[in-house]
Amino acid sequence: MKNSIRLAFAYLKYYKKQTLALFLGIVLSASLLTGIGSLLDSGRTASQENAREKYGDWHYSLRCDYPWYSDFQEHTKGKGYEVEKAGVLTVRKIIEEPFEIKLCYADAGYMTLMGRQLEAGHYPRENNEAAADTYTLKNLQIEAEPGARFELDGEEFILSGIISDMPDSEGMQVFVNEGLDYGTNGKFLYLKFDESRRVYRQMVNFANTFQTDKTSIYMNDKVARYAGGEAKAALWETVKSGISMEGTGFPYIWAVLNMYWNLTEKAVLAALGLFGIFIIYSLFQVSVIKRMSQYSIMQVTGLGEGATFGILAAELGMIFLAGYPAGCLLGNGVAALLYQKAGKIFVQPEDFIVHSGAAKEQAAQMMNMPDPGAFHFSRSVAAGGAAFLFLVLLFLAWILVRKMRKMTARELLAKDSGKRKNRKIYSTKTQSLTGVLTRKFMFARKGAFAGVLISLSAGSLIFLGTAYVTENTRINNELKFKADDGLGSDMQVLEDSDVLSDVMPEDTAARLRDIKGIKSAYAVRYMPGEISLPDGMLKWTSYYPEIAVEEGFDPDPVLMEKYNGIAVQTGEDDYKLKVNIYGYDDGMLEEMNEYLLEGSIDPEKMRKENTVILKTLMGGQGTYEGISLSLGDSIQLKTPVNTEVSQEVLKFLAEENQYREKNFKISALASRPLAKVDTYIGDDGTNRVDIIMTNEQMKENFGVEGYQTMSIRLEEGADAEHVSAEIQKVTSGIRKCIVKDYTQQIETQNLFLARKMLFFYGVALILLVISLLHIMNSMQYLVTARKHEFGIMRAMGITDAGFRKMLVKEGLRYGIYSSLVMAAAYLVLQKFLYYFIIHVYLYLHPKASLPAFPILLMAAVNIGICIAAVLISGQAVLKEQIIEEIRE
Amino acid sequence: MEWMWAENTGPVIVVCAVMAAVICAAAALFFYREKNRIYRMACKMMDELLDDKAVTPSGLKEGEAAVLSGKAERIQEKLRAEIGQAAGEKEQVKSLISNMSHQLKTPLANIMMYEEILSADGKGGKSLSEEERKHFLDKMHVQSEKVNWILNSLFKMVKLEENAIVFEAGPGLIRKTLLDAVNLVYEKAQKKQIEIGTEYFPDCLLYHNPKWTTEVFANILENAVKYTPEYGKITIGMRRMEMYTEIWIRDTGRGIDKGELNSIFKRFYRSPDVENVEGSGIGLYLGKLILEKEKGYMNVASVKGEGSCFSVFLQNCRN
Amino acid sequence: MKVLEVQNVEKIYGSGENKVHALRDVSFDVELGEFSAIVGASGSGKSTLLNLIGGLDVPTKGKVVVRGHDVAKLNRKELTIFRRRNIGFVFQNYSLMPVLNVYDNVALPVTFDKGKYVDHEYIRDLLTELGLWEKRKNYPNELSGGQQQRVALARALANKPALILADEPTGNLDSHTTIEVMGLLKASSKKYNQTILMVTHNEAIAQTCDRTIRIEDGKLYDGELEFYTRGGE
Repeated sequence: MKNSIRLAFAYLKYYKKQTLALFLGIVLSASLLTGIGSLLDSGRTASQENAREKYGDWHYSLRCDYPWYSDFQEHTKGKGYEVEKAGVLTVRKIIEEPFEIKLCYADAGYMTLMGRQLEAGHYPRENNEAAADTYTLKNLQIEAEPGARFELDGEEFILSGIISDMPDSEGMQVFVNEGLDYGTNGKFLYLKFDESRRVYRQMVNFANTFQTDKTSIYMNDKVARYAGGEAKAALWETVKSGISMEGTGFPYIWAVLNMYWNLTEKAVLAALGLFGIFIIYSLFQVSVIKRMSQYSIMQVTGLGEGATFGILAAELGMIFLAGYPAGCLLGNGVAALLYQKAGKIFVQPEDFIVHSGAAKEQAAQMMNMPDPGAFHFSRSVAAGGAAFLFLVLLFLAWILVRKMRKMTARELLAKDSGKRKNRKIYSTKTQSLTGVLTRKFMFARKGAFAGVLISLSAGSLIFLGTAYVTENTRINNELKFKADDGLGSDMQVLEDSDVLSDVMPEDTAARLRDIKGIKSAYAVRYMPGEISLPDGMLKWTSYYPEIAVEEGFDPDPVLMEKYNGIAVQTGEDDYKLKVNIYGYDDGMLEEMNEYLLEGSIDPEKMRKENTVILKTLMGGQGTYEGISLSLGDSIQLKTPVNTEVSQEVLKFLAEENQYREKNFKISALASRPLAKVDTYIGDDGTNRVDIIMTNEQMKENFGVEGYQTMSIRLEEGADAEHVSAEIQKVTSGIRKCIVKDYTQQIETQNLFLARKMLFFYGVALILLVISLLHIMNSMQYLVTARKHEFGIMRAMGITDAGFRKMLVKEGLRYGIYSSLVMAAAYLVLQKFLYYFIIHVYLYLHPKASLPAFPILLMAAVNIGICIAAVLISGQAVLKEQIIEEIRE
Repeated sequence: MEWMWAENTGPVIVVCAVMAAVICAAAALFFYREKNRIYRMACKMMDELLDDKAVTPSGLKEGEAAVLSGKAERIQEKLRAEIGQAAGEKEQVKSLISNMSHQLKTPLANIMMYEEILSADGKGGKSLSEEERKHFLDKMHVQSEKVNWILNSLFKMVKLEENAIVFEAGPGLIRKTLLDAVNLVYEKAQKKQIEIGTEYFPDCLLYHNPKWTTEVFANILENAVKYTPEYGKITIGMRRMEMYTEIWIRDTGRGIDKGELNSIFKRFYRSPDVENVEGSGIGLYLGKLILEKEKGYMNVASVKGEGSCFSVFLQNCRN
Repeated sequence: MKVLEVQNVEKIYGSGENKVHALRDVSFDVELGEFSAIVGASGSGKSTLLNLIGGLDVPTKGKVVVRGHDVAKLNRKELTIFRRRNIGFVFQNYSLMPVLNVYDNVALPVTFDKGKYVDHEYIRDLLTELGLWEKRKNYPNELSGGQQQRVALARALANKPALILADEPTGNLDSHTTIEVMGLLKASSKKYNQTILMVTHNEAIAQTCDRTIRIEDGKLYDGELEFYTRGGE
């Protein structure tokens, strides 16, 4: 062993160039792996923290008004579990009217878990005192001022304190004094386990310890998924149901696995790891081949295969010991810097992009996007990567030892392929044999040839794939940005009202357009409506909580109260759906083209033929098949008879004379609406059906004259503040009309997106650079392997120029072949990615393929690099003594 | 591309035609000049060849002209070599004559001595008996034979060296050739009680000329008999190889000194050890010459004091 | 007519303490059509001498003149072309192109010359002479060692070089094949009036040559007698 190390060290010192190349390879691979690992890990931690804030910092909850509870209070730490924090919520009473509100008492543990703080006043001390958050108070139309009096379920309370908003996981709550008791108590225990271990196992152990049924334990999955909250067996279930259940399939499996296992991250890291190995292997192979003769000499003198393995392993081990920490340091250093500058791009987007441009209070939050938190070095990735790479290195050493055995019997190997040899004599047909030689060298060993081609095309393939995804990500981001985040316009003037008669008069639009600095102002008319979908036309019946039969999937109480829910079942397969009806300006309709799924948008034609655009539902797999309505079909639309009707009418349950019905033909299908009104039945861009038509049609068909919102775009360089003030002047007299300035947000968002793209392209570029290194190395290997033959040719009198010409031809061939392989592989990959980004990542309108230019560019780069690489290694061949080469 | 055909068709076609014409003309001019250049160069080369000057351009350049000049250089060399060879041959002839006179000196001196003895018969009172006279006549005869043999050998050698004799070599059975040679020395061997035996010796077709090859074997065998003491042994064997067949002749004679192995095939070479033994120093050299003409060759392995083994290699006849 | 002149050649490898005197003051000439053997123990400097003559290496001192060209004065490109047109190499390890068949291997050096036409008649003659015509479509790995060396010889002859340099041509062959290869070397040297310089450590092989040049410790002895009389082993 000692000897092996000494010998290995001697080799390392002697073959400095190879050692350096190998060292660099390991450093680069390690830095890429651990750096990106740390970035992703930091991002995930930040997402986790954000999720804690949003959904409460707990993993499981269960009813605890059982005898074991007292036992638990004494044993928060037990066999196989450790409860870090616990809180108890006691529901005293649930009232149904006007909303479902829980009157409850919560202990301090619960309040900390949920992150609820007292913002004003104090917790209830008397039985007639109550505390609540502003959201609940607003819905109850109670003034958010301690001391206010209000009535709940026939009881009078004094508001004693204001509490910060509830996390998303809980419904409306009013906190009351501990002493208030109606006799119907439900006690709920909220648990936060120690996160250093899988919380699922702890939960199971907990359930076993206290003899409770673990199926009745509810999981806060948005938070618990970061800590291993899902049973492992459930994964198998997922796969099974993914295969057996209709409409799920692969995207479903991927999505679920991704949620609990960070499949994307793991796939990225695995790909990086594989890539690194590939590089290290080919680098090391060249280094070993360079001194194959020495090994064979040593073997002759009695060095066993085991000892050879020892030397190789020791060599690799030493480089690894030096290279891996250096790589970690480099990778994490760069990553830390990157995270500091643009950490936000690594935090999972669904947890921070608030898709509601119109909500006043949330719009302010959007200004400061998610908190990326501090960068932290991912120990698990570093350690896992080290173990993985080390094992792989040992494996490589073993493979090389095996290969050596084969190499010594090189002639034997060559004889194998002697059967189907081409017996053609080339020199009688062609002037130059060098071309023949090049071809023969390439195809002499088909396996090796294929390997080289694949490795040559791998780098550019990765780059192209990344570029494709990145390009579509950009498109998707921009489209979502405009549609879902409502950031398509710099400013918005909107009626923050759920009363139909609250509108901006028609002339407002004209007056706004006159303001200096405003480029365009698109006005939007609005009307709620209802369409009927009889005979199974609504396919996704589980889409809406009102009609879905699923435990825990409850309809929004506010929507139920105000509009009788979105979907209503009227017969076995007959449904009615509340819809938003929008009237757009021609300019905005023009922009709708970006979201077009089918048909065409022509405002003139729409006006003439009175046709509409149907914005249909988007499913969880990026499909739009929830409603079987297609182009040319007509929809029956029911609307209030006019805008003056009472609120009750909007439930679509009033007498028939309050409504009118009309049929419209569908001229286009779209994936998203552009301007939205969500003060009525809401609209986040995906979950509502919208009917879009021209403003003129709105007036003609429904008599809507005023505008609900105005989307304003500023001229380049206009003073946003000034314009905003001007707009305020125009709209000051209008009831409930507010102005929102998005310019700041758009700027932040754009910057954010640009950085994100930059990061993607950066990673792709690094991968490309590494793979170029690899190409250089493979080509060098190819040339080195044939040094003997080249030596012969030089002795026979091929000039340096002739030799180079031959190499260039070969490089060109490799470049072209590998480009062809790359193009073919890329087409397959693209299909795969296309499927993925549509069905799993729900991208909007992705491009089916990259334009030809980048592919051609990569092919050119490939060819160029191949040629450069062979020339460089050819130079090394020319430098060496001919005699040495021949004797090899 | 459509715009091309829509309105501007005329000018575009004209421009294209003009460009094509210019390119064609340029190419034609280029090739014409190139042809002329090569012609002039070849012409100059010929002149240089004729004037026996150094050929330009140098044959160490890449390209067609250089290949030509390389060939021209070779022709020049060949001419020079031939001139040199002629001069060398003159030298050779000179040395040949001196060698020849040296070779003929001993037998001629002997003949003259016998002739003197015989002609003095009866003059000085002393007369030779019939028996004695017969003895001297025999001796004279032997010496005359020897002179004849030497002259014959020399004649053959010279002709062979000068390529004056072109004998036809072709496929022939080897056993007969070898037997002829053995018969020539059989008597001498008998006299010295030397046994001539053969090992495995199948008959086969070898590329050779029987008459001349008999001479080669005879020379080797003669040497073997000459340098092998009485009751010695000579063994003949054969070994077949892919391209050649080896016929080896091993004796139990005095052997050859290591330093001399290379020289024994040289013309008139006589080992200093055997200066007092009769020999011309032509036999092996002649054998070598003959074998070269038959695309064969010969070599020898020897251990001083134990014997020598001469191997003759003749090409197998491929069918 | 001298094909090769070696004049006071010295070759020193390395410097300082590691200095190795591979050749000391070596001089000799080779006549046209001569078949000479350079013999000597391994490490005596005979391969170095061959490399110098073949233009694969440059002498430290002295001149190597092949057909009037001073090898040391040629530049890299000229040296390459010089090698192609004047020197035919035969190496111990045959050094054939494994991916080409016999015929193409032989034709290869000829095709390096741009513009030169390939004399297929001559190649056919060569291959027949060397008993390879039937094997012309075979690949080197399908041939025996002797056959491979014959291909190498044909290749060396293909360009009609001024000088064939054979570096231990029979080093890898058994005694049978050695005899054959030597015979063919000799035969072709006569038939094509080809000058051959062969390096070998095998004394028995050397004696078939017209002339033996012996090198020991970098010093040259022309002919056996000279070597032995000057106190050689």
